[in-house]
Amino acid sequence: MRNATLSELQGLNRLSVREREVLSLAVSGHIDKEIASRLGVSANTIRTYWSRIRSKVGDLPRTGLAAVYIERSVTERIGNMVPGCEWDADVFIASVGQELRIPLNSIIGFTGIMLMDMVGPISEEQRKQLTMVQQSSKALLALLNDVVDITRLEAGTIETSQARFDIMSIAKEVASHFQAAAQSKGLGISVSGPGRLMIVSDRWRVRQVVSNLVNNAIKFSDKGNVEIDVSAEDDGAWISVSDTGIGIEASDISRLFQPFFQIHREGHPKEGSGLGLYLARRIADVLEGKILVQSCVGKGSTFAFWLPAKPWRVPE
Amino acid sequence: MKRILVIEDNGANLYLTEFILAHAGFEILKATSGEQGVEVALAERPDLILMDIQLPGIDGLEATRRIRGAEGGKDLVIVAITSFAMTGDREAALKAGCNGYLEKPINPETFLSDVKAYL
Repeated sequence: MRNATLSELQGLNRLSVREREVLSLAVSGHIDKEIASRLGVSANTIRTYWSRIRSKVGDLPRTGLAAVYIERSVTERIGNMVPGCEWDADVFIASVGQELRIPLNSIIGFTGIMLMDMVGPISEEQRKQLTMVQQSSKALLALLNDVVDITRLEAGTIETSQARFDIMSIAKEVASHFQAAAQSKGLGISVSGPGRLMIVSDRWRVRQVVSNLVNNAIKFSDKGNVEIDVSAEDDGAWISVSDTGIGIEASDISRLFQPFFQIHREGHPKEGSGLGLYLARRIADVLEGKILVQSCVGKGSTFAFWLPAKPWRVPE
Repeated sequence: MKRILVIEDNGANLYLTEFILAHAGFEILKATSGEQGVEVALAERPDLILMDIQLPGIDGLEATRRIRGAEGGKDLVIVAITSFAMTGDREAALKAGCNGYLEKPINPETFLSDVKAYL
């Protein structure tokens, strides 16, 4: 049997949590009927999962898919160990992340209170320099959080919770959180949708994705409004974030969700980690949702986040 | 004058929290370990307890459980300060008996109003 190709291995990365479960159970020797019963779904559903797995990894027979999975697991195991360390990379990075938050608390905290005039008057130049320290440390914190999240996502150890919540309340929370930032750029921010739209998913992760999209919308707009629109459709819900900003070149759209890809604008310093959309898409994958983008240079962009309405784990 | 007990082992973080709260007119009590925190909480009965979760010895969750389990411990207001590293951190704080939680690193701009919401 030949080795897995790079595109097959990469396809494995794009499998949803459910698809990975199906493949993993098959590799351990379970037949479809057993997998269906384990996951509490019908055999037809398992067949659908297999066609989705094939569309991502490659049109291979079961044995071929199993071989790709095993090859990936082996290289992951080897690649995941930090040399000279007994821990897996994701545990190590999460621990480092935790430790880094402690000194960051001091840096962000003390510069913050000085800038809030709580420690006596400061000169204009001191204010300017302290503001730079603060911006740097907030960027550092954002990068830290994103790296820990991504490492966990890639290692498959991210935990998500599952509960019923109202998407409209998330949309309103995010809008209110970004109100000040939008206003400082002269932008409006609004929410539209039904009075209530209940869904079963991980509210913190959904909030994280929507916040990321709204943050980008504000960042790349100099005028107009950012609109968060919520709507129900068939078996899912859409949360769309639209702006009247600078828009995205067609040639950039395909690279938008890649790690560290950032749009460069003349006169605007690089902001953020470049990981936001990559992380948002990976979270969408884990939640069995998707993120689509539509844009027109000079007119604006719309990022649409879709979530399935049905529970995506075996109900108790 | 309202009294706030801050349970935090890191010197700089303790100083920062103390500074912000004293500036706002609160009287501050301090403890630098979970065990000491439990003692001071039960003896002094402050209006609010800010409990850092990452502590040497017993952690903030265990300290909270001990306060709740002790006589008179049920009425005290305990707010966890935690970095939310794992999903489930929020639930764990509430399950241990905290009335609420605040995120670490703290946001100096909103910290005071967040704290006042519990008083």
